[in-house]
Amino acid sequence: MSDDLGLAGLYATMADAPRPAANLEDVRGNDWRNILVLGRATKTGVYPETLALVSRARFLADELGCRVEVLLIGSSLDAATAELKRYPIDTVYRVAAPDYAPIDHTARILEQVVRKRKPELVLVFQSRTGDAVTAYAANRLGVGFATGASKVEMDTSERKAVVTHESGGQARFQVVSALQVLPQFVSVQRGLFRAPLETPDATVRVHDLSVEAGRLAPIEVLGHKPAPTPTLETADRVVVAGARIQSAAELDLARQLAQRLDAVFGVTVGIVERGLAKDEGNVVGVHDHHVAPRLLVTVGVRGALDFLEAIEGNPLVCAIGCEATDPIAKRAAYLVAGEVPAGVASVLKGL
Amino acid sequence: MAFEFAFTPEQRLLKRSARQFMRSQIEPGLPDDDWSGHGGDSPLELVKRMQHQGWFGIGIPRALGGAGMGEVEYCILMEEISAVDSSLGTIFGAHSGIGLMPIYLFGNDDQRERFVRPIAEGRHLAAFALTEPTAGSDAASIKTKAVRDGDDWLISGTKIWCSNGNFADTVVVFAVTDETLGAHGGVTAFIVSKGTPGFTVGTIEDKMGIRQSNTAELIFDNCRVPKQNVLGKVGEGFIAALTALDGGRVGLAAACLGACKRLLDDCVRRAKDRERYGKPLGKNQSIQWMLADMATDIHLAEYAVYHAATLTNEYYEKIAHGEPVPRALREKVSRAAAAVKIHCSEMTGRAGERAIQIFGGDGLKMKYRIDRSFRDQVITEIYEGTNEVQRLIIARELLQEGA
Amino acid sequence: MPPSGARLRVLVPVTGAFHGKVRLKRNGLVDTEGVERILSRESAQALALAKQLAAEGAELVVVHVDKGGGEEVLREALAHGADQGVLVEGAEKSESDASTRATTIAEVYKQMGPFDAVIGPARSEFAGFTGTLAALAGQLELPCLVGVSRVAVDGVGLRIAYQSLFGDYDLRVPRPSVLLVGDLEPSHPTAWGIHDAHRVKGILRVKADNYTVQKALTKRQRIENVPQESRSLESVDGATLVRRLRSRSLIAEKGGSP
Repeated sequence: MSDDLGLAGLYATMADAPRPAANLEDVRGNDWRNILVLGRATKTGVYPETLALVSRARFLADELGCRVEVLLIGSSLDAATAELKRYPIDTVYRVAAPDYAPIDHTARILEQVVRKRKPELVLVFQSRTGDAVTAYAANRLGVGFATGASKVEMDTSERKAVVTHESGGQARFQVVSALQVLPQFVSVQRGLFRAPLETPDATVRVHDLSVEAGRLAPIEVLGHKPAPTPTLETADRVVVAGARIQSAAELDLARQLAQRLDAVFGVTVGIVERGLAKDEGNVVGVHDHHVAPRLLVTVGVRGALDFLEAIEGNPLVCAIGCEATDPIAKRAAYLVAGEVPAGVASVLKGL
Repeated sequence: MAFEFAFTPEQRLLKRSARQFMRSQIEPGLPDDDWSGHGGDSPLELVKRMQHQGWFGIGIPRALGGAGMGEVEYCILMEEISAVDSSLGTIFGAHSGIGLMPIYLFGNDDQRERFVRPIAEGRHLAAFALTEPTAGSDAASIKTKAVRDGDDWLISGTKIWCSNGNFADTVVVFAVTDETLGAHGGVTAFIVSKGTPGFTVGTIEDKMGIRQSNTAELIFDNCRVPKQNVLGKVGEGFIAALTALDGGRVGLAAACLGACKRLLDDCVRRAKDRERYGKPLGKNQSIQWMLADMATDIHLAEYAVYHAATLTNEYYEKIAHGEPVPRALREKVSRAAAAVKIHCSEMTGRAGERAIQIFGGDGLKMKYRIDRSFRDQVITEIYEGTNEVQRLIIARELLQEGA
Repeated sequence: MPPSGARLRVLVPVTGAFHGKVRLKRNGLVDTEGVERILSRESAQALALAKQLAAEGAELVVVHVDKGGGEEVLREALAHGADQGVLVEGAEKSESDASTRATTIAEVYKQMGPFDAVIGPARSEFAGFTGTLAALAGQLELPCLVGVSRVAVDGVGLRIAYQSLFGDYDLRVPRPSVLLVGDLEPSHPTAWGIHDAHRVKGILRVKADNYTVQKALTKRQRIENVPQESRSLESVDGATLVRRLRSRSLIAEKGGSP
């Protein structure tokens, strides 16, 4: 599945976009200050990645002694605003637009807000669209940008962002670079930071802004099909059941876990050879499917090399229902040791 | 001065792209089980996709619709195709190495235009029909006859073990045109198109190995072929056959090299993957020795195969351009082709046995395809001239030199 | 607006990738000796998309900003069926970043144009090329779409299939637009293409100095090995695991979308 944030959805609703409520005010003076997070709203709140960026922004802002601001662009932002109000954010700016604007449109809104509010650092979470919005906006402002950062720090004396990029593929090195001109635009890999703690006494100011994004490209929607279901190879989250599973009921628990995590479900060669699961085209192994998720949860998997070598990329591996001495434990970050039913049940309860 | 022996950037790209194409576009389309059904049902849809890659006229000039490359590139493709499936390697080799090449090397301009172009452009497939029930290794004993009838020839006889025979559009057929002259002078090569009256396909062999390559019996019953389809000169067919077979043997050696490399990859993975007595198989010295022996065989074979391909390329270029071929070059090619054919086919046999040992019982399961490699290898010591005959060729050269 | 009746022209910026193991030397430089530089997979995807327009008669011009080994990268792109190659040489000598690369490509666009589309890869090493091409769109004030899997001529515009979380859309977009490829099977070069790329087609070589009119806005400080993960296995209960995953944005907050 594409990790794109979406473009076309907005065109269908473009005509119904509500009018902005207020004009955007310029920050007085020439100082670039504060950290702006480009947030992304869902129907019920904001994406976890937005909160993770808020967390990092808060940390950096406390070091710099400045404010954290979040920009939300969309058509229905009340739930997102309500969620953000629970966190250590100084200001939320809202710009009415279709659900998520196209790159040039979103980038122009971002550009205008940046021109007016003068943040020194703009954080966007990485996706193909996130990278594109970051670059488009930065380029219109004539400043540098960094996409896909695996680490974001601030040189507090120079107030320059120092970003780290890990190389892809087999190479295991990273490039550290510093942005040279304010404002600084950085898109950050997902899954790096924790969400901040809720702040019961948070005072978050909310401003609805009117932003003129300029002329939109004449793009017309000709047709639409719902998104395809992710596969083992393309899914962000994968749950795999292995040969430590003892019964059909335990296997069913693993399936339930996959469902609750919105993950794609697979099995190992071992459990198929034991006859507990059928090969339904979902066997994970060197000779079958490879997986490259962000999150890999194994249930009752010991970790035969056939399975381990089918794991690509650098997923966070959580092993449930195995022992610390099993090979999977060498790859795993978290282990819920012991029997499968108890382990899975405790995770399901936590969800 | 360094001894330069490396692929050019063009050859590296061909090798890498062929590997990617075979593994991403062709391998997923192959059946896990090659044992069910009739051996000889070739995956022609997959072959068609390979044809569209321009591989099936790899050694033919661009002006004739080919890819304008040569024997080294042919061997690169043989290696990468056979690393995925030996049956496909056989289809490709029977087409390019021995089916197409004699028409290009010995054909006149008209024949090149009529027969080589559609093949090189990926529209037609070719085959080579030499072996007969009473003439296998002893190819000079063929009984199929061709007699003149006005401006035409009438061919009668039966050919067997013809790879691609069932679906080839163009077949090079060898027939006796003068019994008194023997092989050299008495055998002529003819280009016969599919559908020519009097040409029918007989039995399709059901084999234990290379089951997806088609091995057919071809029956010629007063098959009328115009004189324009005589390949080269009347009576010089045997030279065309031997010349094509030299290149074919080098290609077969490259196919074995590819299959063997794949086996080694599988075995290395297995040695890391499989744990016994609390440690990976590969930690056992006995397994390490098997892997090292396979790798050593492959290392030596690789240099030998591409050296032989380079020689063959020089040899073929001279023939194609009508230049005189020094006897020394011809003999060098024959000897090198025979040597790499023997070495690589037997190397694959040894690798297959080791792979079964390393995989244990799993080696017999179809899922891992080790059994298939094992079965596919058997024929490599037989076709394109048995290894015993190749040893005779080498010995003859040695003794001639000694004399 | 392209001249009416003229042959459609598409600019395809491509990136390279290392084929083999790359190591870091003691002096902090990347050791690429003996490592082949090849066309990146994403660029092969972009070429697969661009070839859809080539099938309608478009001329494909590939451009590569060389940082070493670039000729082979460009020849590989030509082998995929591109008609013309532009190699911007000497970029490795000057400090560059995505902005300067975008400026360089924008100059190629202006000097060799007009073009009806820019079709490029959506990812590359360090995830930088999406940014480069979006910046290019920003500089040229062109519409920019990411995740395109199909393209065809549609009157004076282009009809594209676009992938997003919300599903697959068919859109009509203006010409020219910057289109970044989505999930698409990469193109495979044919033997004919490989031959022509190395023996027939020429490459237009231009000096980066003439095209790079902007200083780097990001400055490389150092290259270092990725530190070995010191993280030890943490034994947790189910509830803790869920909290950990939520804190890393790997699963949804309660009631939220993942």
